[in-house]
Amino acid sequence: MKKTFAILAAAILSAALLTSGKPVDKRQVTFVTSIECKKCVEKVRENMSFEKGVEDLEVTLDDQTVKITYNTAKTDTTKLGAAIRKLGYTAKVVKDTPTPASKRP
Amino acid sequence: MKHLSFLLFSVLFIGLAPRAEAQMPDTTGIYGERKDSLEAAVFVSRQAGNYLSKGKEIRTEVISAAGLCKMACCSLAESFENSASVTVGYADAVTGARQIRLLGQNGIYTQMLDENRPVMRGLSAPFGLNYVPGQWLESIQIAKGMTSVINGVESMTGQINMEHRKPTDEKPLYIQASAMADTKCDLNVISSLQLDDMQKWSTVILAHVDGNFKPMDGNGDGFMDDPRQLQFNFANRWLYFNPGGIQVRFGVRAISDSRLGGQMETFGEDRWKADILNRNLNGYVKVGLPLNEDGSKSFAVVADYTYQNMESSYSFARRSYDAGQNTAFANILYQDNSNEAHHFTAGISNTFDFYKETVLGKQASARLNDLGAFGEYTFHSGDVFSMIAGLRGDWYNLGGFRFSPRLTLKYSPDESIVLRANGGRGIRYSVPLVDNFGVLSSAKTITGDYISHPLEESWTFGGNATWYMPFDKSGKTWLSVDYFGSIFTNQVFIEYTDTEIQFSEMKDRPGSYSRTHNFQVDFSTEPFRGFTVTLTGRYTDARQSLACQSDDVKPMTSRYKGVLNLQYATRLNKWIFDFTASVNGPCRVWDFMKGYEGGYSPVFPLLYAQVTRRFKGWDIYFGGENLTNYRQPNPIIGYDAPFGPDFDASCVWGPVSGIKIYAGFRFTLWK
Repeated sequence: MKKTFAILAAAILSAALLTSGKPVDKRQVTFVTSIECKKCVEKVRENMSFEKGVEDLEVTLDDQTVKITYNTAKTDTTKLGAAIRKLGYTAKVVKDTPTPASKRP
Repeated sequence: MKHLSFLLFSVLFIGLAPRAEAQMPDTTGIYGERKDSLEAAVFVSRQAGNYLSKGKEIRTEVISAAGLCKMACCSLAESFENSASVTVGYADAVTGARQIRLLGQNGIYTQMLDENRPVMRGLSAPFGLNYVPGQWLESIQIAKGMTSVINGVESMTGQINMEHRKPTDEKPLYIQASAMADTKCDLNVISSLQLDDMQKWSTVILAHVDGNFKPMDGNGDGFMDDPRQLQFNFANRWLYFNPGGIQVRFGVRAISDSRLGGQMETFGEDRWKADILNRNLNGYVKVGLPLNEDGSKSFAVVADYTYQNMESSYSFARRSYDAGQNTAFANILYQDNSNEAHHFTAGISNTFDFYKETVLGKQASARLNDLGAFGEYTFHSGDVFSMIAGLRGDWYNLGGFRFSPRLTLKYSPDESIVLRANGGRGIRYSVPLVDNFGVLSSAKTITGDYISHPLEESWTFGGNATWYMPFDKSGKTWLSVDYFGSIFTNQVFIEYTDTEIQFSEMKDRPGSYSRTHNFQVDFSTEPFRGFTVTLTGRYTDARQSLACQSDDVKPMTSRYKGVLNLQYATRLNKWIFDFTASVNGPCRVWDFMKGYEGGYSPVFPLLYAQVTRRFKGWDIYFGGENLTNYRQPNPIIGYDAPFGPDFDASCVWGPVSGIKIYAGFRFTLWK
């Protein structure tokens, strides 16, 4: 029984240590793009989801925006903009702000 | 050799087609844009699998590209496993032919459309569902009840429209391959190419091969669960699009499929066999021509030709069916959508079928023609109310003149509620033996008139209420309730006795009837981001007055079906987990089938699960079908004496194969 508790305690401790590292610095950038069809939405979604440092993505056809939450240690707005342009669309940053989670102390 | 010569002919035909068609003038978005096919992708971080279209006047369930990836979906038949509206089964236990049921009626009463062209008619129907590779499709729309009169009135219970991958897709290469543990494999290679910078010319090439190389006998009855089989399927579709005007779509398709079912090969050359060879060739052209600057008035022409050949022999040709069918379809229509509230469509169409059959040794041929004129008026009062009133007059060369009215109403008092009602008449020529293809794998004597082609006629009415729950602003939580009923005024009846399978026509049996009532409830929600729950239940009460049965419950029709689908996708869809469970209700079996308690088949569950891992351009998936390993006990009656008078492989109500594990990959190269 003691052994079980010891293993459980070690697991919880390890998990705590792993999650208590330096918080990831995340930002959310909004690009206005030239996407104008549903197929473009699919193309951007399917490709940008797998760009390095991309943590979340929202593509909206109505206002032609691509909203990306990214890890600043792995990428930046220049690289993300270039990745969208490589797909054949224009991309202009209109907003780049820290995400609510990364603002927390 | 037959495969080779057929494919050679097909390739030559395909090679010539673009040059011939390049001289054609061009057209518009024939029949208008189908906004629903990608409705879920407008604002997304992920795409819904199955959903109810909110904007459609007719109750329409959409299976999106994401929904088509939830399961192995090697063919169209398997794409419906998530749906309670459509029930999928086998026509018999030896040929692998799949059939669907909608509103408690056989799939022959559901009109199948390929981007608004009628397909899978007559001889193409028994194996048609096997010949549409799931990976060729972009989406499927299942419309219940009475649909538009524009494509004829053969839709008697509903309509299923398939949207294929498009020439304009920016995917020069897509490859999918999968293998099942039972050695069933399939491979799809698709290439969409835009041939000029203006994207005036674009094409999509679709190629498919599948095969079952080592048949299994999971239940030990000595018969293969699935036949040994090899299918080649090739299509080439073109689009010419002039931004200022004309639009032309044309394409060709060739299919060759051979299958050998029956007893396992260990029984030697004298074993019971079902040997079937199907070949199909199709060519079509659709031309849309805008008549004014904004394209609100347009003229469209659709022409389609299909040749289908089937050679089948059962058990050394003691029973054989060989047939050829030539079908030509043309539709000419004028559309006026210039007024926002009032839209008009009018046109004429003609469908001609020429059948040449050798049925159980008897030669027969038939020329079936349906010449029709139609008009459809659509009224919109903003997003609140719409009405579609359609009328069609058809002259059938073997049945005379028929009027078919259809009416659809949609009322949406606010954003959260949609109410729909529709009704009307449906008519089709029957092809009795082909419509009941399974009877060929029975030793019973086939009697009655199975050669002629009477008109089957029905009236279907129903409605639907959908409530989008206001607490979920994304519209992903909804409850839908619907009822549809159909009454046949003429139908070909089929009856099984101990020794015979009898064909008869309802109108020759005074006092006879055939009707169904169907109720369905659908609920879908997303309790937290990435996790979708869909719950569906369907209840069917199907009645038919048959002399061979002790009551009027329609045989081989399941009473109910419940489906639970759970999907969880991690952020950015890098991992996707799908789980589907269904409960399949009992069905009344034929009285001659012994050993069924109360004359009903047992309730049985089916489980499906799949895990998908996605990388840039790659998906790898792994899953299982029929995880409870449920099989219909003794799907082949008299399997131990296959040449005896009691042999019957046509009475199937459950799975013939057991558990199936599969793995596959998808590769997409983006432009």
